[in-house]
Amino acid sequence: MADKQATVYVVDLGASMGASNAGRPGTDLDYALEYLWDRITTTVSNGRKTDTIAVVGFRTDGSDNSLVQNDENYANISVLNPMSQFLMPQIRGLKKLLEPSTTHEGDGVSALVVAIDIIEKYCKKLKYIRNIVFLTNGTGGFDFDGINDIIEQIKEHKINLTVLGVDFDDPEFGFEEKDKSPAKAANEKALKELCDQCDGMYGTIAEALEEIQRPRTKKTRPIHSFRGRLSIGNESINPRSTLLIDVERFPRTMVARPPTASSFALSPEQDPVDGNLQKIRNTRTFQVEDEDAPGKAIDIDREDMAKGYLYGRTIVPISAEDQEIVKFNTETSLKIVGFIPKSGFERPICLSNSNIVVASKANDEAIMALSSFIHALYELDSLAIGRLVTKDDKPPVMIAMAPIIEPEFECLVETQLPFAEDTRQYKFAPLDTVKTTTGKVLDKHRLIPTQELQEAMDDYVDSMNLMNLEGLNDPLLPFAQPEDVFSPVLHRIQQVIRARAIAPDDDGLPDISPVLLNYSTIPQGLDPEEDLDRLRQAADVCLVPTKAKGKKIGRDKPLSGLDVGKLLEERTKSRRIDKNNPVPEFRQMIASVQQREDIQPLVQQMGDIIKDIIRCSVADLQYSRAIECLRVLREDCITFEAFEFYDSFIRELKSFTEADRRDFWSRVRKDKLGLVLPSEDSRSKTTIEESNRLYYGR
Amino acid sequence: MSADKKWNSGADAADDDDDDGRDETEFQAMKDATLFAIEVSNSMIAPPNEDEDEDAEGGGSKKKKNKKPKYSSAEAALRCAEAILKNRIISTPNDMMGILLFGTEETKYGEGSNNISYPNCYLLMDLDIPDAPSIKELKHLLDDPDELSAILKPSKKPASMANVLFAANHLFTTKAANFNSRRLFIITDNDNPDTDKSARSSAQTRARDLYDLGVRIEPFFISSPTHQFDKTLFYTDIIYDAGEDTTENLPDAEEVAKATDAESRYEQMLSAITAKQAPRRALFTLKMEIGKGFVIGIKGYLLYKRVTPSRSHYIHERGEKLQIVKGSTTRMVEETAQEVTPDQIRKAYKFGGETVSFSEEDFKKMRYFGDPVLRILGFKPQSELQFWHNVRSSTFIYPSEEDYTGSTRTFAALRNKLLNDKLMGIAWFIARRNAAPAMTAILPSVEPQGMFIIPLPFVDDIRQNPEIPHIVAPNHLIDRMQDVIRQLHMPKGYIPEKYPNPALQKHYKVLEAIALEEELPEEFEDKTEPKYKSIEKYAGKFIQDWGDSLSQAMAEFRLTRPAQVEVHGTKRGREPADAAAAKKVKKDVDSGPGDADKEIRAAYDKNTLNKLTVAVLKDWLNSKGMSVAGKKADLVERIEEHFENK
Repeated sequence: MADKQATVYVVDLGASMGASNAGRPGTDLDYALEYLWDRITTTVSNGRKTDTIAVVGFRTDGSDNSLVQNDENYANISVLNPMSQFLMPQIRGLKKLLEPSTTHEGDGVSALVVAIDIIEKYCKKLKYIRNIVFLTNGTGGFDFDGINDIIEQIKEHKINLTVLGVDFDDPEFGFEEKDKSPAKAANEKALKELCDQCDGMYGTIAEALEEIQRPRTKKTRPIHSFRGRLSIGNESINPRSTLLIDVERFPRTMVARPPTASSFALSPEQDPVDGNLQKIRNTRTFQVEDEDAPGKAIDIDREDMAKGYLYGRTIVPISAEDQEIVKFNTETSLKIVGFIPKSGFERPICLSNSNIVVASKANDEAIMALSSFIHALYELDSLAIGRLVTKDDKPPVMIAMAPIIEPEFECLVETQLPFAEDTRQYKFAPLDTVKTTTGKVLDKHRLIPTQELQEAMDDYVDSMNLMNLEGLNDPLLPFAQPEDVFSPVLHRIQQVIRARAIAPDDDGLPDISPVLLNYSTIPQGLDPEEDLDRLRQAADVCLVPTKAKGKKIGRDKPLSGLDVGKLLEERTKSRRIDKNNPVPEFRQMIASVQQREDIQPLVQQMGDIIKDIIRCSVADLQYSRAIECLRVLREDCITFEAFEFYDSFIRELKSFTEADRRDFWSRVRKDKLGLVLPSEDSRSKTTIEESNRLYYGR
Repeated sequence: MSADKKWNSGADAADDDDDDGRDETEFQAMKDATLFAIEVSNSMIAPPNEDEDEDAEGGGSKKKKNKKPKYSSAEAALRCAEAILKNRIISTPNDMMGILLFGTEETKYGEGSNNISYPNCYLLMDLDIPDAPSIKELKHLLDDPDELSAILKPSKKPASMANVLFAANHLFTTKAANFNSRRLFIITDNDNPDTDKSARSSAQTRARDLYDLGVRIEPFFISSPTHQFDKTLFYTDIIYDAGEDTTENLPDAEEVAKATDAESRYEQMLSAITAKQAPRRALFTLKMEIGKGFVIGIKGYLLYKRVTPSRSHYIHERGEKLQIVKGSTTRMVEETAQEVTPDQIRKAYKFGGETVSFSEEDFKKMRYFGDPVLRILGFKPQSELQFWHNVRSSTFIYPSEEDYTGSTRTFAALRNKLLNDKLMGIAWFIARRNAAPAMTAILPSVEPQGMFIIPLPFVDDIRQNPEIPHIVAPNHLIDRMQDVIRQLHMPKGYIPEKYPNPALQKHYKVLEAIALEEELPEEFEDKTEPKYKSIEKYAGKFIQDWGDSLSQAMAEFRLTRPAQVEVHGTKRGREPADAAAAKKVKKDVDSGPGDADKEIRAAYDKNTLNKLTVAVLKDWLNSKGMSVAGKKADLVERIEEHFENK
């Protein structure tokens, strides 16, 4: 939450703003508006009622402001939007008004006075951040008489003045306009002086535009997520030997999520104001299966439902009273379990975002107590292990806490650790040795790096040292330090929304802002070509052709290397698939065929078995089995380049299910077991539409 | 509710790296069916050899022996199966499990099927998602030695392995047809069954069938001191490399229990089976770009993921039968109440009081930052990774030869280098198509051998520090605290296995008790609670010293700087001697920091609330969840009202 804010944008709309300069395709006004719209839409996207905007145009064809009645100096100045929260209607309204006028009349300084007047009247003496942003190309008339009074006013109201000019000179930024007219040069000089005198910002638009490329990060006021006592020991055992410190916990990292989209229904009629989107309401219905009911399910009223859990397949009803028994009662607390050496701590077990723990700010003694805890941890190079309950009756979590000591700030930082149930005991083979089937342990093998490869890797890694590179967004930061990396999705979505908001009729999306892709590729400065070439040669990594991947069927041997193919010969020769063992036998037979023509009868047999399973299935009990056979059939037909047989079978199956096994077909559709697509076999000519027609068609 | 939520959060789905398995095929990959096949033979049911135990030793070891029951190999295997069954109900409630005994005198194989097909096979528990009755049955069996020995009665002739394998084939085909992971655990001490050649051939054929079916055989061999299990006699002919990842390099057949005494044999067996029972589920298969255009293949696995209690369901009682109620959501246009079809739905963002909408295509495209990849940008020392640089759980990566041969050796070389020089990679990471890109640190891992991807925060994710007065403890106080820390040092570090989640355990203990119609557990062990007795014993005195040191430090501090809030001074006046303000004895006051409560109460009693600062008043009101609006007088009035009404 930030302070209240009022901003007046003063925009030069003189006829000269309609000209194109410096080889830009758009007009000067378009150039200035790029900045204006970015600022305005950023404010809109924050959605705050207390962040208000007014827009004043000068050198406009007409005059529309409260001062012009008494003083004709204020002619050709128009308030385009009074001070208010900006929403879509304001954006649309303003867009229509921001066109170059046909006049050169209108005093820029008077427009500034109008802006000050608006702020004065709107903010009164209240606490506001007051801003005026002045956009011009500096070619019109500026009457600097009495400017000192204006400067006084700006200072008195603590208004932040920003003046941005189209093609203004800015030696610091490194821009200078050639062949500048003397009038413009004089205006620039006077505007710069004005800014200098009231501590304002003065610059050229090109710089401002570069600046807005940099995404803005939103500040969130720290809100505590836990307040309680850090304890060592238990008061009820011995209060004198129990350490208690009042502490609070605040997030240190918290993933900033992009705005979420909601679903709307596209309405057939076009509505110019609300668009053609209609709100959607969700209604829940509840059903239980019932074999006898039509549709095999009946509706249940909410009152007839109880709560329960599944224990395996068993339903365990838990009444409202029993809910209490299931619950694990806890008390808000942060209990220290012990301390561990930092050196052996396995960093990857950290499960969560990080939070900081500080002492209660109104309690000096707690601050000092925690300070001793923080320093002692630091000096012993240890971490504290704690059991944290953030609120009464919340389940406890285990945390590790590390000290942070900065010049003016000390705290503990904490992340959550896994419980016993949260770790998965997956087995992985060692990478430094290979154990053969006979139990021999090898240290030379094609899976183990050779010395040559290891050396090449060592050199390559050494040459890819990032420590000497500076941040790509802020050169003062180290390369890829979190503070220097913007969240790509967050800013991309905001960028896209803002672009679409001001140009709803444009199709497509704007290009990704390059700032967001800064860290997506290997940095320019590092290009150890030689080392990489050496590594590449030593590693000899080869892409496995897609065809080879599937074809291993039928070639594999057991660990002993026994030729099972021979054993299977008797079976495969028969060319009869046992319906009790269809998947293996089909696979073995299709792998053993010599001629393509022999595949077709196998597909035929398999198809018959599948249909048989479906036919004999009580309700959908055997469907999974049939689907499994179908999946294998499809997979192998593709592998053995015989997808045509599958396609013709699946068409046949479709009509087979038509009668009373439609539910089976929906399983086929769900598992995507329809026609073979060109992406699966390049010889296929099936289009997506064709495939969908088979899936969905009647 | 849930269905709708899923839809709406679709936009965020890509962000949520924890959530794998979004589309149908991936979901299939999540399901596992495991069948235990336990051999019953004279040696398998023989009680552990008494002579091996050290009887000579005195009372101590005898006591120990009495406490620990002795299991035969077969019983130990059954108990392992039971332990794993209960474990899986918590960790993977949708997985199937079954138990098949072979070599039994009695033959039993499901209802309705033909017993003759699988003689001497006893299907103790059908392959299915476990339910309470079957667990109960197993429990009863293990509690009843007579019944157990009746079932574990070996047949005269051992069962034919071909039959056992075909029985397994049948179970997997009918019960777990499209489960992606299907495993047969064979627990036996017989390394040479089926000596007859034709029986061997047919076993080899049946094993081949299982392989083609996608069933993986995981053997657990029991050796005895007198007989070393030789797997090359039979088992290497029926076991195949499952072709997962780097083929030849997987740890092969597990050999368990060479141990002589039954107790450790059971434990060995349990740990061997536990280690294998969780099927490895890859989260993603990905390209790892080590240098410009230089790519190897990797797979990602989640090794740490928070397990939460199963969600509750709505249930409906119809007659005797309980049923799960299925909820479904219909989407309707709010005004017209017409049902909305999926192709009518458009995604829109709220902006400036209205909506900004996108076509489905644009909606997907705006999240596209390139194809999935783990692209290493370069390397930094591991010390650059701050403790707080964490936003979510890590992902383990391991090389895969599936798409690129040579990946393993290259990956291993990189890992060696990072381990030796304590380096980490910095990488741009897109886990799946249209997943949100992340900046990550790549850390080498000693055990398991591989590397970890640690997602780093972005600048947008970093929060500001709260404002808090800066007071640094004097050295003597820090020294006293160091004494405390040294006393409570756990040199082995944090071992997750030692800390079962108490909330989760209680949840399932209660469910189990209700489901199995047992007594609800009264006392419940919570291993996450600090060991207070040893803290008192080892650190109690040092904590007192620290407390005294703190009082002294505060006294010194007060001389140089007045108290932040006056009342702290008063409190010290009221509580003399050893009571440090940060050490508070819990009295019967309202919840929340007791300190502030007493201050406010005291001020109220003395009618000096007005003298407290607005900040203190507000803090207290905040802690009571009361409004903090208005001027100081309003705050005081509100507090007075609060105490008057008490």
